[in-house]
Amino acid sequence: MATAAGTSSITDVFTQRQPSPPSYRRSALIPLAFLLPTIIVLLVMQVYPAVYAIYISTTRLRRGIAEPIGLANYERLFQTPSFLEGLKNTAIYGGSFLVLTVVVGMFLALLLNRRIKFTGFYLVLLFIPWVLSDVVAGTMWRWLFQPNYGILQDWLTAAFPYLQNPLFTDPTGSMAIVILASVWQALAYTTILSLGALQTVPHEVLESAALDGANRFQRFFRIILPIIRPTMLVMILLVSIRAINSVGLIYATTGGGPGRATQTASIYLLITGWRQGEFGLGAAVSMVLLGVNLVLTFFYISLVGRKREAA
Amino acid sequence: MGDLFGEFLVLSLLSLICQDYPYAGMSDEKGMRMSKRSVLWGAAVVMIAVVLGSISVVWGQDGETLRVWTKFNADSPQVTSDRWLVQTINDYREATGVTVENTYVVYNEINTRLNVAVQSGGDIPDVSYVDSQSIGFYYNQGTLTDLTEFVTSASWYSDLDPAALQACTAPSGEILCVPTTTTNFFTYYWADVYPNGYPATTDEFLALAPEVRAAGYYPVTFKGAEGASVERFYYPLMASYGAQVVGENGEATWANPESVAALEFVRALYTNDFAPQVTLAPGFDFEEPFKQGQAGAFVAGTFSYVYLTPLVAPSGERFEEAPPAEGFDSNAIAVGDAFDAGELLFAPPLSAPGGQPRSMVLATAWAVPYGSENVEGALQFIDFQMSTQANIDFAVAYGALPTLQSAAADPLFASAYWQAAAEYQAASGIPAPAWTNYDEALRLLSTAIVNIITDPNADIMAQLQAAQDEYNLGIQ
Repeated sequence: MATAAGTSSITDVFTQRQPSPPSYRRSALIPLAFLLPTIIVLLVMQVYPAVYAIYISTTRLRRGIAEPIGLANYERLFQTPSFLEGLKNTAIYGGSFLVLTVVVGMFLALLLNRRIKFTGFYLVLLFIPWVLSDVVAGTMWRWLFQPNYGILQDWLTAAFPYLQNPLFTDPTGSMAIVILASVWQALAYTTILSLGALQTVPHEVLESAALDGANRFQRFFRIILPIIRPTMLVMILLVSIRAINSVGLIYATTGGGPGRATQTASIYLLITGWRQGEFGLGAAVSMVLLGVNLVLTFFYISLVGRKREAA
Repeated sequence: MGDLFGEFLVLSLLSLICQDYPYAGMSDEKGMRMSKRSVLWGAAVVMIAVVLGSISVVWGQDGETLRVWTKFNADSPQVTSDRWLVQTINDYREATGVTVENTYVVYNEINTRLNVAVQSGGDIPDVSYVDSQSIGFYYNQGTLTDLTEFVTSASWYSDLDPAALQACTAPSGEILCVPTTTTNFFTYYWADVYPNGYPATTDEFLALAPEVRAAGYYPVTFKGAEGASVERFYYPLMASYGAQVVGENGEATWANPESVAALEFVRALYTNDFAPQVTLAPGFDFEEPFKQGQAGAFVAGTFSYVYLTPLVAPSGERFEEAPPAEGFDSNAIAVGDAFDAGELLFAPPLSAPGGQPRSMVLATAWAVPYGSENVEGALQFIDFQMSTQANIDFAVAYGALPTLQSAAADPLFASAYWQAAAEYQAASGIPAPAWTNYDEALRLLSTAIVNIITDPNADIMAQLQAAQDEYNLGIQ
């Protein structure tokens, strides 16, 4: 009886609290209404251009009229050595940029997390490159390694007289300059994100591990890294996307040269789409890059998801 | 209307300062309220001022406006050609009442960006500067309006240099642009470095270069990277070796033994350190070794004198503040003075052994893009530029030979510099190759050549073949 009465009362409460279907629908629509302006802006500013780019990539433009040519732009793209070399350069540049930015950023964050003096000052110093425009930063790096009067090139020549050519006009050297400049600029971002993540690690856990005899490396790899892993994965994702889409700094530093040494796929997109005016081919390049970014995104998100399920 | 904007802003700000400023004795709360009101007032004033300002800009444009694209910077003039444009805009407004709105487009992008604007149906200028070497590209893309009727019925038509007019003529016979100057490329050299004159052939150059290098000078500097390097140095050299670089249908034919021979010489310049590495850097740093007296010779355009100021000769003499030499724009004086002092001399481009020197002739021109909204205004503007005096003014400011024969006969062009330029143009001038996509051809060929230079083991023929194949694939 008690059970029946109890059941009955719970049911009553449930049915009393359950809103009627029309009002439920109304309340469900309220958040949607608040989200609508953002959704509309995203549709207009992001989704429509992306869909339009897919369409443009299957056409050839002439005097404002788009002539459909199917997948010919994609076919041509994958037969073009400049683009294929651009993909290779993107992989070299992106991989080096990602590893160096994340590793050095984490190292700096670990240093700053030790509650040393003037942390704020160091952070401001780190942030200066981040707030510089790509053109300013690129021009600065170009001048630093300029073969005639670049101060860093002068130092390099004095320190390593056996270096035959200035870095700036050497294919490998120019790629190294571009990577160095990009890492220098992006370090603030990875350092701040890493520092934020490190400060979420409970001190008690680290102290317990230290008492149990764990050394610094064990504490970092076995405790800290697993705790901050989700943040790190998001950071790696964003840095990867930045590396693939990077144009301004590379263009301002080397212009993609010497030859094609620093011409990434994004620089190739700039040249074909804007400087040569081949909108169809340019759109096809952007679709390929979008595909690469999407694959990376799904890969990283699946890693985060898998970890959560395991937890 | 512009005054309305200014008056409104000043009066509003004055009233704001006088009316609501919190004063001593006022309670904090009231002061805060007043302060908030001031902020709101300020925001309102700024918004209204912006609206009025926008309206005043639109209303302030009395009369007709002509939209022009050039590679000259009228907003922040840096060189003589920029200052020429400022003067021309003023002269044109005084003469016709038309306001010219110039859009500055960087020199190596203006042709492709004009094409992009037309192909995309975007913001198209009424009239634009174009380079004659892109005529084939424009013709294939349908970018420009046919000006044949306008040109052939113009009063200056019979005075126009036929060779220059040919540079503006499409394969169909349509005249797509109006040429204003022609420019070509030759060699400036320091007399102290080459006391017995500059070598005529590549063999003679390679024989003399070790001695020059041992004396501490780079034997030559030139633009060695990017598309302009092909126009200034590589293509004329290849042509001198007998290379045919363009096929009948505008395709690339770069991979041939003559091109390879020319590029073996180019590679030798770098492997022997006869050319500074800065020649391979983007931009214009390649000029510096010559300007500082560290390089003995410089592959220059007729226009180069505009940019080479100041100059320091190998003797240490500095040229920058002397009175202008005859035949030079008064703002670009170093080259003329160095020439008058006997320090700087001119020579034809290097030729292949037993071959003829070759120099690419380029014409600057005006054109009316397809879709121009003010064709009549555009033609009137072009007509204004084609008086004898206007043609002389532009030619001197730009650093090129005028295309009107009456202008070329002016005593200004009788100076040694212009006589040399005219002589080299007549003796060694060749037209630009009629590649279907001119800028893309320049990009691919220059990239291949830089690869050949930076990788001494790269097979020259293979590199040229790969670039040629890529280009030809793109124009199918």
